[in-house]
Amino acid sequence: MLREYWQRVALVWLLCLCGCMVLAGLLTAPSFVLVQSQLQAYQSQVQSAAAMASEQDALAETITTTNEQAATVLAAGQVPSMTAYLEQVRALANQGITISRIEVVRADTSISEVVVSGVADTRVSLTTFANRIESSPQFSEASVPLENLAANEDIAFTLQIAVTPAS
Amino acid sequence: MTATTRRLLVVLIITAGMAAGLLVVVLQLQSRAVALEEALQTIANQAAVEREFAALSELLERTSQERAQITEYFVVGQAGSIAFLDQVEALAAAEAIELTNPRLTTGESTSLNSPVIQLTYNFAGTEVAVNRFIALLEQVPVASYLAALSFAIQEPPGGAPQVTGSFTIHAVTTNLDV
Repeated sequence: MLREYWQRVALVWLLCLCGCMVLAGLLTAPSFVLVQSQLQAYQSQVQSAAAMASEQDALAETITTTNEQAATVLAAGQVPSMTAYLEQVRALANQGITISRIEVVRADTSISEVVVSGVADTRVSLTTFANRIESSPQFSEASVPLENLAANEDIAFTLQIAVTPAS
Repeated sequence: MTATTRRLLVVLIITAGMAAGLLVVVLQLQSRAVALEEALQTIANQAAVEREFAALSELLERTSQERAQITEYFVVGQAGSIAFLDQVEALAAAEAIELTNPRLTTGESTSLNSPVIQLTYNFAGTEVAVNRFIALLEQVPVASYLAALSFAIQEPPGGAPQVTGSFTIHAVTTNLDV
């Protein structure tokens, strides 16, 4: 009997809940219709705005690419020239130095080393050449291998000249 | 099962169905409301977008020559690579430099952050001509740089010093597949 009573109570509450939900559904309907109709009304405007935004993205991409290309061209233009180092080495070669081979070594875009081979008339000529190179602001070090100084005349040498890193 | 229990079960199922339906309607309404809000925002921003679009279009039109000029500094595709080879060889021919054993590969310059073509040649010529050629090679109007250079100088008795060696030049490239 008691169970029957509670089942009826639950039934009544469930019916009330159903009623509330029907009411909520009915109240929601105008908002739903309004929102839907507004969305449809603005659709063409939104599509045109989206198309313009997409076209604008393409224009911005073109400008970004151009900026990157300009930066690359600028950076390539600032890569140190080998000619300047070759001319400097030749200019610093004093009397008594005959250069027979030059190699310019580049590490990526910066010049790291210039290797100069040749023949020096005397030890003094060779050490003078090395000192002149070392005193040049373009170069930081010119190491003469000790064995190159063994002979006193017609010394075949190989100078490894370190280049001053560009600031 | 009593009649009340059956009714309760039926009403329970109907309630559950209605709750699910209401939930779907509310979620749909919410998503449409968000879409409408975004649409209104987009329309409100359209004037600014139109202004920016016009400014960008004007900028692109105004800089079309400069942009075309910048593109000329790049080796574009295989045709560009061939043109660059021709340019280097023409430069050498003009200075009476003999170029042999050409090697062409591709790589990446980390400093320039760009793909490059790597062109290596052996060369021979008089010292004066080689010096001039090297200087000219570094001035070609292409985004490029001499990556490696080594040469030997020989002084034949009574003749002008002769130079033989090799160089590698890197040129920035785009669209290699073209």
